Amino acid sequence: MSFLFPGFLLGLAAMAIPILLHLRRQPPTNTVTFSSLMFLEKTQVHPRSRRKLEDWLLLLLRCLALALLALMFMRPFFRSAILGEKANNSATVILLDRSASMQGAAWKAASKKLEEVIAGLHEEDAASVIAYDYSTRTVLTFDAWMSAPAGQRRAALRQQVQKLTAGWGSTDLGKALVSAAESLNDQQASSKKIILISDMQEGAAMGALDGFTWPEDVQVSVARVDQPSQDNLTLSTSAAVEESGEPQAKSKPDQALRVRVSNSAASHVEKFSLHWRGDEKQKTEGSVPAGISRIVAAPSRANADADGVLELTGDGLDFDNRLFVARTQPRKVTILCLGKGLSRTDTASPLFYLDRALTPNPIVEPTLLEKEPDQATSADFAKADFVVVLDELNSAASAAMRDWLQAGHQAIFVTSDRSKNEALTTLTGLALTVAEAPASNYAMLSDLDFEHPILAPFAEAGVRDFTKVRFWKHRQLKGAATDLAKLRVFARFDDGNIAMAEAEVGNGKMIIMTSGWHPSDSQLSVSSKFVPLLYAVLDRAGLASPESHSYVVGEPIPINEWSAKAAVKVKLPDGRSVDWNGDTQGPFTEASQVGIYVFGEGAAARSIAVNLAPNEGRIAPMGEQRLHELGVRLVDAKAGAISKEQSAREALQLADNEREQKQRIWKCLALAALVVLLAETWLAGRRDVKPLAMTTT
Amino acid sequence: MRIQSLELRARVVMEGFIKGMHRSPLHGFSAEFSEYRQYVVGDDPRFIDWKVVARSDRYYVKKFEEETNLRCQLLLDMSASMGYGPDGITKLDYARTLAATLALFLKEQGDAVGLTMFDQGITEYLPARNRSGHLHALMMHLQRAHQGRGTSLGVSLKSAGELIRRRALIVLISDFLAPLDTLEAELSLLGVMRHDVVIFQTLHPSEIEFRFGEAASFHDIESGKQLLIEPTLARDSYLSRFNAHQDRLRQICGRQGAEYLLARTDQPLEQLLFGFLSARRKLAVRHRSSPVAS
Repeated sequence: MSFLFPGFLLGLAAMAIPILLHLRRQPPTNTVTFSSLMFLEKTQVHPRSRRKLEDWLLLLLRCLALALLALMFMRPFFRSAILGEKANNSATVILLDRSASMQGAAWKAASKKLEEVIAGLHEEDAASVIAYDYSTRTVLTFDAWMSAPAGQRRAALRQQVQKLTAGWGSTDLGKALVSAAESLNDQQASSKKIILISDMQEGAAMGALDGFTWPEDVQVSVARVDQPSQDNLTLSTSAAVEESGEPQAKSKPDQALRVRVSNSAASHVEKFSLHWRGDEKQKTEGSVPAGISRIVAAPSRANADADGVLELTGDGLDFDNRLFVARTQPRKVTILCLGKGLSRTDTASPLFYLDRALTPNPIVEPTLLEKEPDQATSADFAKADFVVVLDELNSAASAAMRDWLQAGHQAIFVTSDRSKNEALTTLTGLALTVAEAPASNYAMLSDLDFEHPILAPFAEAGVRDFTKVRFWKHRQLKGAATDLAKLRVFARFDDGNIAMAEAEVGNGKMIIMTSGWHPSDSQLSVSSKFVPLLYAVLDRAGLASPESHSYVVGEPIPINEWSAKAAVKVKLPDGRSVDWNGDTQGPFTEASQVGIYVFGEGAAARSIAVNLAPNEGRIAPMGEQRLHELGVRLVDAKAGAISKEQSAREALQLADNEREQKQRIWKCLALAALVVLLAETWLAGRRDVKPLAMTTT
Repeated sequence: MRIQSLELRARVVMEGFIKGMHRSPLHGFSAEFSEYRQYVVGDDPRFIDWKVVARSDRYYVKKFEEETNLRCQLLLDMSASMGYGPDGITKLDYARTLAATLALFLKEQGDAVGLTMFDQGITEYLPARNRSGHLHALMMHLQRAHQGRGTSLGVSLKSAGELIRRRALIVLISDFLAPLDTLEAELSLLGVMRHDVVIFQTLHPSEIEFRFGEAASFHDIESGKQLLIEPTLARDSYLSRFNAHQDRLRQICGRQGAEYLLARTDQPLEQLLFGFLSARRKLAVRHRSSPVAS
């Protein structure tokens, strides 16, 4: 018989209590009245041990009850019992952090720790190695470990891990732990352990652990790698830069690039300086306290149209001191204008105003193409990113445009006094008729739906006043109530007629305007609302939003959005080139290092900057308590070196726990103790009934 | 002690020992002799003992011949220690019966009997008288008497000596479980006053033998004091001290001419009195047969 908690054997010492109580009954409870004590002196009353041991049966029962209780707490079990025993081995996953923060000296320290852990592994136990940063990669599977000949498994493992180097990715520790725990699920081992070799930086993502129930039998041992220095400043793009789409000084030469400098929480340095690579003379100096981030202006650079690298100096760690900045290129948008007699010089022509409103800017570089409506073909539509219909289309053009719209494109359809019903019906698929509205002095917009994306930019109080825009002429859009209900009307005239509406055409959309912006129809083109409205329409079509030129390591880079060709050659920062086909391979996912990636060649080449994830620079150590709070079961281990004795002891303990759980001998003991206590109570009660006679001879 | 009435009980006891005694023309205490005194002028010539004149040619008068009837004063210790009696019969019960029996016996002989009860001092005093109703009053006093507090033998004897002016037989009944320091002096004083003193020491057998088994807290019935006693350990010491006390008491009695009798409560009372009276009669016979000093 074995015991789960043999320490409770000390509980047997409690048996001394009833024995002493039986032996000592001080002071004597009986009193003898005597005539005179003049001949007596106080004497030492003998302990009961020298007297007769009374009530031995009662004492025996009391001692037995205590012994049974002590035995119960010791949780006895039989090791020989058949349990469907598992192999008494262990399975270990070595989880190696290879994120960017492990670059340099930290990686050497991690390699050393890894070697110690490998040296502590047993050939007969199962082992696996998973390297992780923002993603996990199994370096050696359990199967590969077991398939290696016994005695050479550690050597095979060393061979595999020697190829590993620290990458440039961010750290997703939560995902890595979940992945490691799941990989242990299939292992039939009595002891399952994850040895985590990491710098345990506070910037590590832990979100994956939030909804994850950590397995009871998997324990994590942290082998912490100390960074050579905690003085770390991190350079990253500022959120303002990313949102505004004004990353470069091209459009505003007087406005310098603004970047974010973050200081690590445990840092002791505050001062830093920024300069562009190759131009060390132009420096920007500043300071940022520990644990704080600050947005600062980068020094101006001579060649703002080229790719650049902004470098930071002044801290102890180098891996996050560079910010790659790609040269910006505006999005080229081809806008096809269909109308009769369109002119870029005639103020009466709608094109005149479009041509002046849609000028190239850092975000969009619009190209206007005018075409007679009847001559428009599918090829014309295919080249266009956006279509503006200013006149009636014939049926062929309508059908072509309908196909084009259904593919996911967007267009504006402006009704004119020459409009007929066919084109609109063809394009929208709705039975709509257009008729000139009764002549009146003028009409104004009312019932504006500022929740519609096109009018959303005008939702602010200062810019939502459309009363100064007067419409001399407009058309009435009529049709069945069910058809009209399918239009999303976001502006009406004050006479109740629809002014602007949106119709769904397949995957595409078409904005219908019942009045034009040229002077014969309205004052819209000369109002301050015109240009924002046009850009809002383009933005609605996804053509006026800024393209991201900056990604973080590991983030997929969509090629198809801006590349004319699906298959491009990608020049990596290390000089290598790879071919990538956006149609078959999807977004480019090989951005595993920081630097400038050049997609395409020649004039069509496009630069994309890939930088470190900003959180990767937060290298202040995270307490292991954080893992515990997220439900991870931790074991105490020093430097990840688990001694053989310790692991064997733990394995045995687990197996013993399981045996004891199955046998549950303690329940029988508890029952026996209860029976004995009942017998003791009965006996004691019986004994107390008989009075103790005091014999005085 | 099954008979509740003290008087009846005393009568039963008395009949018990009277039956055992042979009838004799000489009566115990009343045979006491008075003194001779030389005749002086003025004395009544009727009291001249002519037989002595014939023998010695000197004139002696027999003085107070008619007053030599016995006067007996019973001194009864009523202290708390006399209330000891674990088996139901206390020493006081025994002593009361003893006193009552003696009183009855003496009354039957026509002697005067008085009663003095004491603890730390005199609590009751009935002078010795021989008239009808006196015995009943004495019995009532004995019956109703309550147990007192501590014992002060010296003070009590001194007070009794002051109260009993005329020569008398003083029967002192007590357990004498008190310091004996002043006892000798007081007995000596009683002797000087020509009192005849008889001492009955009433003791319970457990006081004499101290045979207790279990360790217990011993409670002093007089002082209320308590002591943890292991009897097996304390017995030798107790007996040694007790016997020394008894020896000293007997020595005091011997020196002062007081007759000492041990009255164990387990001893039949009639047996005790028979022995006592028998010895007393022999003493009286010897005394009468001895020639008067001239």
